[in-house]
Amino acid sequence: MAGEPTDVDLIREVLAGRVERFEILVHRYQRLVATAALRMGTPREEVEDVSSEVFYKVYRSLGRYRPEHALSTWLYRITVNAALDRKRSTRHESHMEELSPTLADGRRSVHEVASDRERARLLQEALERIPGHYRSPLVLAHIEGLPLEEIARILDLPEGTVKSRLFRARAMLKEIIRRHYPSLAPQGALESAS
Amino acid sequence: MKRDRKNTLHRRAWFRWIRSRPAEGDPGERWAAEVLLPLRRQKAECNVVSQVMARIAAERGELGTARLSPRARRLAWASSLMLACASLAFLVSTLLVLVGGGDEGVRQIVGLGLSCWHVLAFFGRLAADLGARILAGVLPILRALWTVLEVAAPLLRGAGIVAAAGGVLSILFSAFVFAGARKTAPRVNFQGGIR
Repeated sequence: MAGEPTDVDLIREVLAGRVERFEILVHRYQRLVATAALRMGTPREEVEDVSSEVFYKVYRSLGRYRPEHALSTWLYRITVNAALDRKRSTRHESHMEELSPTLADGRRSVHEVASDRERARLLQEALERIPGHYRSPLVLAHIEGLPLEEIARILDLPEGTVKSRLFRARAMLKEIIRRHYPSLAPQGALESAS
Repeated sequence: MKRDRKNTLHRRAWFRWIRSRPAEGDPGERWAAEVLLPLRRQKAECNVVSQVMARIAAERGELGTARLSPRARRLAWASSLMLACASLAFLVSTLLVLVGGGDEGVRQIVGLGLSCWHVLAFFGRLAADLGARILAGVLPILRALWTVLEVAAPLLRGAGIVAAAGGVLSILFSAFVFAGARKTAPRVNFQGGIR
């Protein structure tokens, strides 16, 4: 795929006035943004709105993009902020996340998928109980699987702060699971951890 | 007293226990990875391309009129300035023609302007007369006060020096009295008793 334009090329073109090239960027990253928003606790029916908002914000501030960092890092940052803002403004504390059929990957049994759905729903509830500034690093590290330095860049925090927030977030999650969702604790892991 | 200190220490320990408890209880990365596995499997599919592009197009449409090229902006500025100059020239020439031609309306306006000017000049003169009279009354008083001040200046200076010396002496005397009182004062212990 030698003809595939890079993110930086596309951004330059958009800034030069070829706005239609932004479409390629949206197409390229919409899945990442939507999944990140969903994993940050945005209800599925609002994921599309949040994603659209994120890309619009990206377009508006495209001139501030620094090419030394990956575009995905910037997108994660805007998505995390948008998801937290949405959370704060709409207060979906009691909203239960309904997972779509895309969860099923075909290789697992129906029972496994149903069990996963239920666990994911309960986990979202458990994560809701963690304050946003602790939840973000936890989601980015253990759900998005990003390295520490990238999380630090996304959240605009020193690595040490991210590390300590991760410790506290994990401890909080463990405590929340122990008190309210004992069924979520991995078999034997909780006992060995405590 | 002792109970208060004990309570404070207890409270501090309790606070420390609350604060440190979650950090101490970090179950580790493997635990978190295992617990959060179902959420990691979550994927979202959505297509927002048309939505985003429509929004951008709408914004560009709104700003289309405002987003002029620098050349067009310069042209607009220059043409509006020229138009303003032409309007001013037209107005001035019209006025000149009216005044020069002895127009009835212009004559009335000029007459009205002259009357206003006379009235303003009359009131201005009145105000100036009043100010002059007030100044004529006040100035001798001010001059007399200045003379008195000039005469009394050495006296006032002397009085000031005497007052300052009195103040210093008063401070010294107070310090002396206080030092004497401290020497003979009874000592008080922390329980409020006299030793």
